[in-house]
Parts: sequence; structure tokens; C-alpha cells
Amino acid sequence: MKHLPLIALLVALPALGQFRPPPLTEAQRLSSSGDQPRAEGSRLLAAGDKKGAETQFKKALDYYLQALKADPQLIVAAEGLGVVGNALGAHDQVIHHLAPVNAAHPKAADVAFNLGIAYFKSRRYEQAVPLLEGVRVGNEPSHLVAHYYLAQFHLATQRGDLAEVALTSYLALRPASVAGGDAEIQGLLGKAYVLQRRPAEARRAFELAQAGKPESAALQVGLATVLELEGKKKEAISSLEKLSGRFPKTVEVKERLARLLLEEQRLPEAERTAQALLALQGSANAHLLLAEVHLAQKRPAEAEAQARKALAVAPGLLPAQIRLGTALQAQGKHDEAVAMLETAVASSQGTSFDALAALGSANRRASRFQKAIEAHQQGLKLAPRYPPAHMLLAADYFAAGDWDRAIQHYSSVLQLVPADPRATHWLAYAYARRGKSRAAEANRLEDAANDLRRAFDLEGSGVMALNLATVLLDLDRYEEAVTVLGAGQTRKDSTWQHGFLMGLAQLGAGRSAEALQAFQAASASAPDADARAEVGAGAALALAAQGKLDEAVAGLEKGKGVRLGAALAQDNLPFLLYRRALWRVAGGAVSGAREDLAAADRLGGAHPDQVPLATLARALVAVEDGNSAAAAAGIKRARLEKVGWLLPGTPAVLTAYLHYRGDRFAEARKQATVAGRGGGPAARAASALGRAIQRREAEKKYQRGDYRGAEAALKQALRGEPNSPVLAVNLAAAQYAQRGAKVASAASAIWNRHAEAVPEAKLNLGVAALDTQSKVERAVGYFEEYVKSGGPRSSLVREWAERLRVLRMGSAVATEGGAL
Amino acid sequence: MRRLQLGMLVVAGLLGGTGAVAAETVEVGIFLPTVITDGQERLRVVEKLAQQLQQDLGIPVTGRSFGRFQDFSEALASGAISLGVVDGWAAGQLPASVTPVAVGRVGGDRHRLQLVSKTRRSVPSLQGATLAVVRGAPGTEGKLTTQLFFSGDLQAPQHFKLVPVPNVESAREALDAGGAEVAILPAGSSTGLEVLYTGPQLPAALVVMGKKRLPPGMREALLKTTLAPLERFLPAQGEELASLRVLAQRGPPRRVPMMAESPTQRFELDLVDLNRLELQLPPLSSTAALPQETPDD
Repeated sequence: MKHLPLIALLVALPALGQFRPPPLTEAQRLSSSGDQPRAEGSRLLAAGDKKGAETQFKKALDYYLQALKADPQLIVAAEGLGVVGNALGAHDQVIHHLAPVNAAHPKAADVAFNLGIAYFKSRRYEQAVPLLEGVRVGNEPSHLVAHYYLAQFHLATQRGDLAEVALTSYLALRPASVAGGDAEIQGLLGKAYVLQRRPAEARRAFELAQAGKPESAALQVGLATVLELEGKKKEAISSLEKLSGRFPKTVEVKERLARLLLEEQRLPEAERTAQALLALQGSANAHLLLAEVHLAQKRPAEAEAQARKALAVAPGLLPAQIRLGTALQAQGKHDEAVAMLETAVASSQGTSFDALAALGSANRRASRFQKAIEAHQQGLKLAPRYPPAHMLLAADYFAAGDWDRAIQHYSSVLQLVPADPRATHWLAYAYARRGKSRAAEANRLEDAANDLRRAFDLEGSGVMALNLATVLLDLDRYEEAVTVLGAGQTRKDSTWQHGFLMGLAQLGAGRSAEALQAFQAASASAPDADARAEVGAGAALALAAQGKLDEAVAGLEKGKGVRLGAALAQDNLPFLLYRRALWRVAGGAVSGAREDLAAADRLGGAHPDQVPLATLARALVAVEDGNSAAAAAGIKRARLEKVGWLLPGTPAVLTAYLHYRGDRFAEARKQATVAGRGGGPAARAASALGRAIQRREAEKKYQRGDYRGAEAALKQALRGEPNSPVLAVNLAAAQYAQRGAKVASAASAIWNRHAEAVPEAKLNLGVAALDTQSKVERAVGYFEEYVKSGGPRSSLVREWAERLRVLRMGSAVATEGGAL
Repeated sequence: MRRLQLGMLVVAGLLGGTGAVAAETVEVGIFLPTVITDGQERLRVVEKLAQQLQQDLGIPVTGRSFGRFQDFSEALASGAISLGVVDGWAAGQLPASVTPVAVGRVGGDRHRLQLVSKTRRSVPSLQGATLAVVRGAPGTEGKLTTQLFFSGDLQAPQHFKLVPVPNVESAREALDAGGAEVAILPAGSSTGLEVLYTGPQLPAALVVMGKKRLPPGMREALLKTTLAPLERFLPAQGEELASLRVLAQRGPPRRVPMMAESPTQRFELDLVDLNRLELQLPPLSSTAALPQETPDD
């Protein structure tokens, strides 16, 4: 009996009052008879005569039993029975007789106290603790032990705060006679502070407990625990190692040391220590510890063996059952593991969190997600505010792909332990996975972006940035994508893909130079030729945006064979080819334009948005091929007036142009007039086209011999361009062709004036000289000057000059007379 | 096989007394006084042509070489000959009922006509000299020479004294014998002579037909034949005779002033704002991978 002074105090009689009692009932008389042997027993016990004390207590017990038989509600008898019954270890009898009395008289503190003690000794804590708590608040010195028992219970159930209250009230209440036991209470108080993670107070309590006493292994272990709490694990281990040297046989030291080494993943040392512990004491706990070390060492077969040994020593030992289940699971023996863990859960009547946790995890690892969820949900009911309960359940939901619930439980962990790194990491992944699955659904890109944004905010890794950016790009949110990718590029896991997507994002935001820069950087870090080709396809788009169509087409062609390059080419190559065809035909490179159209058609033709572009390019090529009627029909079908990329008024300009190229001048003029009304660039183009129509009309009339019509058209044209030398030269030609010598000198004056600017002026001067004055030599001189200027009719005029030289001027034959 | 079938057709025609086209003899004629420079050669060439056509068509074909243009022209007009091959310079004088079938060309310079003499002289210095020219339609030598050969830049009757001759070999003889000071000969037959002027390029020879319908397959058969020195025949486009007729009658077009042609105005791309047509990005969200790790405890 460790607490003899306390027990003596317990069984001492209360002081008797100085008054004449009323006449006693039979029950009272019997009860009173029991008080004498009870007092004698207490005296003998205090004197160390256990045997004598026991005899006296049994006598007292008999009296009290008889008294209660006569009056089962007699409080004094019940109280006496409680005291001696508990001293004799007859807890069942105490419970049997005191429970009804306590129920009828809940305020009878002594009855409640003794009943509480009996329950406590019978391990019926659920009934014991409320009774003892009720007694404790009464602060009755005779009930001091209740404080002690409560403290023990709260320490065992890890409630440091409640244990601290019980121990503090104990110290305040205890009489000086038992002050010798304060060291032990301080030791317990130290543990209570440890549980509350209050290292300074814990250290003070342990030091008080140790002061003036021989070194206590238990207290030193407590102090090592304080070091742990302070984050000084190395110091704690070193302290325990020294302690282990001084107390080689103390189990507690080795056990704590082994656990600490295990926590620190110093597994070989942990194993050695656990083996030493096992050698010292073949206890279940020693086997269990070794099993845990083996599990950490990934040696599940040995862990299994140790767990089984622990169970052999202590059948039904719950932690051993749990470790055995875990060891079986690690060996892939899922069914055995689950069966073992179900046994553990059953043997704890569903009250062991650890058992439920292990069972759930075993089921999860065996892909039985529903069972995992059920076990972990039960665990969460036991400890709704215990972070690991949420972590486990979240992991189940994650494994089952139930992102919503995984997110919910990881979020709960973060509410309990803000910024917990594992919960943060997995919450980020749960959001990311949900985002990815939403991105694959129709019309959920916005939701996907929100999820991936949260994932990126939680874990700003490169891979998260990449995933968020792709969805932002799909949503055309280019500026946001640029920002995210910019951040992603600074992360350790940044890759060439960040640069590639950055290029696309910059392109989408309309910054082709920045896009090109990004693609160049991506290309430099691309790991292989395929990746470089893919980046090249992206760069091709940037070049296209800069109008460098040839390079763009080449780049897309090159990237056609690889991954995303193929998609980029498929979506854009026909467009670029149509676009280039348009440029080419507008610049007069008709055959190149034709090739582009054919290549675009081979690639599957125009995207619906691009049909008008294709039609326009095709129409302009048809015009060059002399088929302006087909071109006009195509343009009409394309309904270009609805196309946003043509400036207003363009369709009328285009129609006028097609008529102009088909020599349908009246219609061309009409459409040009219509186009000219709207103002802006289309009106300017229409006006330029109008002048071209008049010139061409005049030329055509002249070629047909309609000199009068040509003259009229030229006069009209000159109104628009009064200073045009070409028009002046041509008007003179039309007038000369009609009136010959009559206007020769006037015409020649005009031609002379423009002889340097317009080569045909010289040619015409030659014609007039020959025609009206028969001045062969002068004519030949003009003709030869015209030939020298490289005018379009040089070969014919050369022939004239040579023939005139041979036939009229007597020159020797130089070449043949030329073609007919 | 084809020939056998044609043979059977001939036999059938004889037996039945029908099929007038198959039974009738087809005659082809040539008037090539310039392109071919030897009378015997003209006969050989026309016979060979007839043979080739007969072989190909499986009907009797005979050939005839004409010495005078008017005989050739009349034979065509009357239908005496179905097909004629004629010097290009002379073809423009054929009546309007004659139409072109094919054009025969001679490579290099040989199909051009040249003004030649024994000594080197300048053309203006030849005022009043005798000029041997091959005769076409009677009395047209001056006009033809002016328009076709001098392109209107020299009036032949005023500048020369014209000596019409039947063919090229006669012109050469006249030159050699002193009957003419200068002659017009085809390029290639002027060996040892001075070339004073080379005329413009003309079709060497034309294959023509009159009113008479050609036997089936004849046009195709003709295009397969060769008739040295003419190279292969090319199908006529239809305008060849008309332009030769205009040239023979009026000469080359009058020189008139020429217009400076303005460059073709092209459609202005200023009106196209292609930057509004956006580049397409493929769906990207499926392309980024996420590590497939799962939590464990």
C-alpha cells in the first residue's frame, strides 16, 4: 500500500458532536456497533497491522450489512459499508448497497465518494468519474483521494487540463501530514503540463518533484519529454541515452528513448533500443515497440512476428492487434489485415480511434473505399475535432475521387491546424483534381479555373501554374494566364512548357513580340526535337501575328508531326495559307496564291469563320485567271457585308474591282460610286479604283480603235487627275489618232513635255515624225530611245526601227525583220 | 484491225454500190513554189502525202503538184481537190470559201524570205533594179511584196522593176543568168549570195480545204503525217487565213501613237483587317499533366 497515510485518513471516523442523540432505531444501533471495529481497524492499519485491521474491518462490515438490511436507505450505514468495503476490496458489495442510497440521496457526499471509489476500482470509469468530480468540488479533506484518482484518470485519457485542475486542488487541500507525497503530485502535474504542451510549467513541476530526492528515472524521462516539447529532440534523445546508462534496468527510459528514436526515424538505433528493452523485459509493450520499428523499417514480416508475440504475451492488446493488421496489410494480405483490424475494432467496442483509423486505411489500400470511409467516419465521430480523423477520411474520399468531400475534410484540418503542410498539399491536389475533371466536362471551365486557382494559391508550384494556365487559355483569359505563368516560371519545377504556354498567352493578349521571346526561351530549354518542333509551331503563330506569313507557314509545317504542333497546324495552317494566298494575289504572285489555296484545301479547307477569307482569296485568283464572273458569284455567296474583318464599304469596292478586271466599266463605275459614298478607307480605295477604271476604259477603247470614246474617257479621267503626265500623253495620242497632221504639232508639244516621264511619248513622237513629215531618221532615233527605255512594246518597235534602217536608210542587215 | 475494218467497208461499198465517200478517189494538191526548191521534189512530196493518207484512211488518195497559183485556187474552189498545201505568203489570195485546216512550219530561218543579190548593196541604192519574185495570183506581185515582205515600209513597184517567176529555182536562175539583179528567196537557199534584207516571219505553209467535205478521219490523219521540209502540222486555229488576207490586202496596221498603259489596279489589302481574324488555339486544358499521387497515412 503505497498511500498508507491517505488510507488511514480515509477510514478515520468523523468527530462526534457534543449533543444527546435521539433514541436509536435497530438499524442505527447496528450501524453504530460497526463504528467501533471500524475505528479499531483504522488504528491497526495506521500501525502497520494489516491482518488485524482486516479482521476488524470484516466485523464492521457485518454490522453495516445488518443495519442496511434493516434500513437499506440508512446513510450512516451506507457510508460505513463504503469505507470498510473499499478497504477490504469488496467493491461489488459497496456498489450494490451504495448505488440505491446515492440515487435517493445524491447530496450525501460520503456515500457518493465511496461509491465513486468502488466504481473506479472496478474500472467503471464512466460511473466513477462524475461521482468523484461531484465530490472533488466539495473540497472535503476526507475526500482528498478523489482528487488523486481523478488526476490519474484524466492523465490516462490525455486530458492534461482536467488532470491539472484535480492535482492543483489536491495540493491546496492536502493536510501537512501528507506533504511528503507532494513530489509525486508534482511529477503528475508535470505530465499534465506536458499534455497541454506547456513545457516551462512542466519543467518546473518535474524539477520540484525531483528536488532533494534521489534521481528518479520517471522524472528524468518527464524532463526529456519537456525537451521534446521545446523542439530539442536531439537533446532529449541524448539525455535519455545518458539516463539509460544510469538506469540500465528502467523500462520507462528505454521505452521513451526507443519511441523518440522511432519518431526521429533513427531506425537502426530505435531497433537496438527496442531489442535492449525486449531483453530487459519480454513485455507485450517491448514486442509492440519493436513491431512498430519494423513497420517503419518496411520489414512487415518481422513486424508481424513481433506483433504476434506481443499478442501472445497480452492477448487482445489493442495496439498490438492494430500493428499486426498494419503489418499484414503491408505484406499485401488485405483480407487477413482487415479481419485482424475488424477484431481490434470489435474488441475496443468501436471506441478505439487507432483501431478504426487502421481498419479504414487498410480498406483504402485494398481499394475498398466505401468500407474505408465507414471506418474513418466512425473514427471521426469519436474525435470530431481531432485533425488526423479528418485527414484519414479526406484521403479516402480523395482515393475514391470524391473531390468535394476530400476538399471539405482537408479544409476542416486546416481550420483545426492552420497551415498544416500535409493538409495544405493535399487540399491543393484535391482542388486541382476536381478542377481537371471539371475542365473535361462541358461548360464547366469557369469552375475548373476557380478550383485550379485555389490549388495554385495553396501550393504555388510550377505544375499547378501550368494546369491553371491551360484552363485560363481555354477561357481566353490571357492576361491572367500571363501572370500565373510568370509566377510558375520562377518555381523550381518550371519547365519549357511554361515558356511555351507563356508564348501562347502573350499571343492571345496581342503581344506577338513578347510571345516570340517566350517561345525562344522555351525552345532553349526544350528537352528534345519534338518539344522544339512544338515550340516552333507556337512561334509560327507569333510570326503570323507579325505578318511574317512565309516563316509562319514553314514553322507550322515543321511542327505538324508532333503532339500539340499538329493541333496548332490543323487549326491555323489553312487560315494562314488562305491569308498568304490573299497577300500573294494582291501582290501579283498569282501562281504562289494558287498553290496556297490548293494546299489549304488539301488540309481540309476553311474553318467556318474563315470561309469568307478563302472565298475572297479564291475570287482574286479567279480574277487573275480571267474568270471575274466566277469570282463575282463567289463573292456574292460569301456575304462579305457581314464579315467583321473587312472595313465598311469594302464589298462594294470589291464588286467594282471585279467589274473593272472584267472590263465591265459601266458596272465598275457604278459600284465604285456606291463605295465612294461611305467615306473612310473604302471611299479612298473606291476613288483610286474609279481613276483606274477610267484609264483602263480609255485604253481599251483606244485598242479597239474607238479613238473618240478613248478621248472622252481620258478627258473625264483628267478631271480627277489633272496633272497626270500619262493621261496627257494618252489624250494627245487619242486626238492624233483621229485628226493626224492637224493636231500633230500640239500633240508633239505634249509628248515632248513628257518625253522623260512617259516612254510612250517618245514612241509617239517617232510615229508622228514618220507619219506626217516622213522624217525616217528622226523617227528611228525616237524608236530606238523608246527601245532603250525598255517600254512594254520594245520588241515591236525595235523591229520597226531596224526595218526602216535597212530599207530606208541603207544600213546593213543586223538581224531578221522580226515577227509578224 | 482498223485497216481491216476499213478494207471491209470498201468491199461492202463496191458490192452494194452505195457509200459514195468510200468509193470516191480523194485528191490532194500542193502549191509550194517557195517552200520546196525543186520540181521533182514537189512531185515526190505530194505522192508521199497521198500514200500516207491512203494508208491511214484506207481509201484511194491521189496527189497533184500545181505550178500555177490560179489552177490550185480553182481546183480547191471547184472541189477538184479536197485538200491543198500552199505557201504561206500566197495563201492570203485564196478565195473566201477556202478555210484553214492546219499550219505547217519550217524551223529556224528557212521559212523567212530574204532579199538577196550577188553583190553587197544597200536597199535604197537599188532604186530601179530588177527583182525576181515568185508569182502568186496574176498581177499581185507588187502588192504582196510591199505588204508582206516590206511591211509597207518600201513600195516595191516604185523602187524595183519586178520580174515575176514561177518558182524559187527560176528566181535563182534569173539571178545567176543576170535576168534579175536581186531576188526574193527563202532563207536557206541563198548560199553564196548577199542577204540585203530579211522579211518578217510568216507561216511557211498552210493546209487548206475548199467547199468539199473531207472524208472522215482525214484531218486527224493529216496531223499525223510529215512532209519534209515542213515539220509536223499543227491544227489551225481558224484566224490564220483571215489575218493573211488582211495582210495581203492592206499590209500591216498603220502606225498610230500608242497609249501608255496604266498598271493594273489591284484590290487594296488596306481594306482587310486580318488581325481581327484570330488565330485559333486548340483546347489546352487536357494537355497539362497533374502528378497522379494519392495521399496515404
